[in-house]
Amino acid sequence: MSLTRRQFLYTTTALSLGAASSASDRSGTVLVVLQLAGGNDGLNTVVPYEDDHCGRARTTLRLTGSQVHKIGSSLGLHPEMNGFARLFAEGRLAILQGVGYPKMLRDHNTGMRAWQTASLSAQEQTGWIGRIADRDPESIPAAYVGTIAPPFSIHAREAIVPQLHSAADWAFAGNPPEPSAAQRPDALASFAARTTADAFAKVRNVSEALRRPAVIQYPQLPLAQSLQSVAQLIRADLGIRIFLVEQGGVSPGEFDNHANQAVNHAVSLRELSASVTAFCDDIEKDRLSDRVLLMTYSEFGRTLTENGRHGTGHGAAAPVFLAGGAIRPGLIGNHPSLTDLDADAPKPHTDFRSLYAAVLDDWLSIPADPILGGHFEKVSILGTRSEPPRARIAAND
Amino acid sequence: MDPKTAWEPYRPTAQRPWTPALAAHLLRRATFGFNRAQLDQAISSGPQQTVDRLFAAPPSLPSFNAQIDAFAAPLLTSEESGSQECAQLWLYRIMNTPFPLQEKATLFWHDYFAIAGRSALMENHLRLLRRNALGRFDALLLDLSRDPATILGCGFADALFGRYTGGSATPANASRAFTGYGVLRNRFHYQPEDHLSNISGDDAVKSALAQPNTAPYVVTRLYRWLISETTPPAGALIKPLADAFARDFDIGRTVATILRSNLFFSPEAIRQRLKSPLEFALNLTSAFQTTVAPASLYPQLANLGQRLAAPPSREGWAGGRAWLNAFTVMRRANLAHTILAKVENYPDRRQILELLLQSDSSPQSDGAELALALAASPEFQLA
Repeated sequence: MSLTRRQFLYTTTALSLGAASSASDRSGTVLVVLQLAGGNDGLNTVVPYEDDHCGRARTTLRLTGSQVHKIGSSLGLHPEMNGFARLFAEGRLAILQGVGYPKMLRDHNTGMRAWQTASLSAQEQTGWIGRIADRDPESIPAAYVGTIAPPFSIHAREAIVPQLHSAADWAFAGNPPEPSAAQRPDALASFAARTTADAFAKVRNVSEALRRPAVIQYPQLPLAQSLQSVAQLIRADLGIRIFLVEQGGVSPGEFDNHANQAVNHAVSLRELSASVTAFCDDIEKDRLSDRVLLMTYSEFGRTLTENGRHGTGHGAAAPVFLAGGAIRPGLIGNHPSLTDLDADAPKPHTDFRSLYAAVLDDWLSIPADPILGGHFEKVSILGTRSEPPRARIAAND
Repeated sequence: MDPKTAWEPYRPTAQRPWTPALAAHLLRRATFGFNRAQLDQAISSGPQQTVDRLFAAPPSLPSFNAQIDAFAAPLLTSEESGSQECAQLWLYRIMNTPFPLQEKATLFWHDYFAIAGRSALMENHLRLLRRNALGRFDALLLDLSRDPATILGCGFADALFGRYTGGSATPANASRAFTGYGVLRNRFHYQPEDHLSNISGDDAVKSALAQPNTAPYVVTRLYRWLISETTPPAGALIKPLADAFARDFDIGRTVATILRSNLFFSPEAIRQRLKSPLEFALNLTSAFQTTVAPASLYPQLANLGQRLAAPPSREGWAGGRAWLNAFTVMRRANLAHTILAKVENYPDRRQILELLLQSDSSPQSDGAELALALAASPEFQLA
């Protein structure tokens, strides 16, 4: 009897896993989508610390070169992002700059809807992950892990996308015996029997994954807990290709810092950095790093100018983080201009659907155009280890 | 099956006897669940008398409705932007109604028209569906054309000539037939000077009803609800029912014809549907005469893909196999576990089997274990 992919993952060496994630075989790749709710201030996350326009426009929020983690190109990561600075130095983090879409919407609901539906039409009835699930409603290609109501991204016409508080949620209450998986004479009954057998098998997989000793101590933070569950569910090898998690989702969202931003934003970025770093280290220790790619986004960035309450307003372009062993590390694209602004906010130069197209086509091997309802030129996000270089959207300086 | 005999009333014979399994099949399809006494009554009454009883509005209905309407009064002025309050009251009504077929038909039409909206509007919308659920389809469409939730929830003209009647194109003069129809303070409001068509909205409804595909389309949807999700019916099988339906649009008579028929009590229909999450839950609560709080049931049903008063798309719920995947099977078993945890006294093993499956199953040691085992079995997923 041949090994299941899960057994393979437990017993294999790093060398063979590297082979499994070559460009020719992406059936086992996983995408983790992390939604930052409220509109993250990109300018104080990836900080252009030498840019006078930024320094002058911000008084209490200003971060200097001596405070940030320098990452080249006169940019630095927020001082609380120690983990991200290490991931960046180790070649496990990429920063895609200036992401957004034309005429960015600046209210939370419609702005977030655009990212969640991958559409600029308010009429779109499904989320982009939901549309992936609808390709085969009987399968489970995606799941949401979190304790708050899930983002609209997983909304599907037909498929029912799992929503879990934690990996431990993927278990039977009580102890129902496993029904016979014998073939039934009737097609519908056979389908129910097959699905039931699959349900019992997946519960066993999760239970085994949860029994494995932890290799990484995750911080006691909500995002870290969700990501730990995601790591456990990835190890359980349920065939789930996309996990959705969220930081700070109670409307309007914790990144929405109209006042006293300095302290609040630092706390949020610390949680983001520490949680994602723990996840990446966990995945790396398990030699799964080349199979897993994490991507962040927020509905919009923020305005350049600090307001009278030491906060910022709803903006436009913002950076996206990509983490994992297979990404093209470093800065991708230029920092948006701080002199050519749109109502006090940096303008995007890279459409987020170009990013989605890349993660769908190049990373998950899921044809992007039908999911995105159109063709978007892909951003090159994967490293040379696993992908031949593609035309870059904008040269790094 | 021959279209002529298919729709004739089923008369039990020695070859095709009336059995507990057939009685349970009828109750599964026409109600949300049944207890021992209801099953026994159906077994002893036979198929035709049981259908008579399912259609008879019980004397307690007016006082029940008055009681629920009193509960619902605050909903009509609710500020809620979603529909959770309305959905939970509906769950209460479904679990307690003395007229379950009417609620089941109401849910069918909710799936069919797939309107979502605020609680304040959805409460009236559901009353409209309930009022017409077993009445006439023409009256139902006319009411919907003046229904605030429908007006705000969909482009009614296109839906009327499209997914509501199985058509594909809206006639030019009909697309503006509902101009001037609007909503003012949660109520229907007609502004005659805004009406920009030479025909009225009522004329447009009549014209949609007269399309040749309307009756076969509605009857095919009723077929999928009551007979089978697995095999689409042949046109010849639908035709006799569709011809009759086209004459008077009588929903109740059509539903009754289907429930009484040879086809309904044949292998073409039996266990050829999957239980919706709501049916799954209420089959259990009914069988063991226990209850579950609407506020607790609502999120669990939503997690299983059935958020009442908020269908996932304009096409309603996909239903059928889309209800089941490896995750929802596990979550259904957990919902069963929650419901069964409140059962104090289980009947004996044979009784449990007959209530839940009407067939043999592997032996288990006690009632609670057997009930959970059966609830987690593939066969129990079927309706």
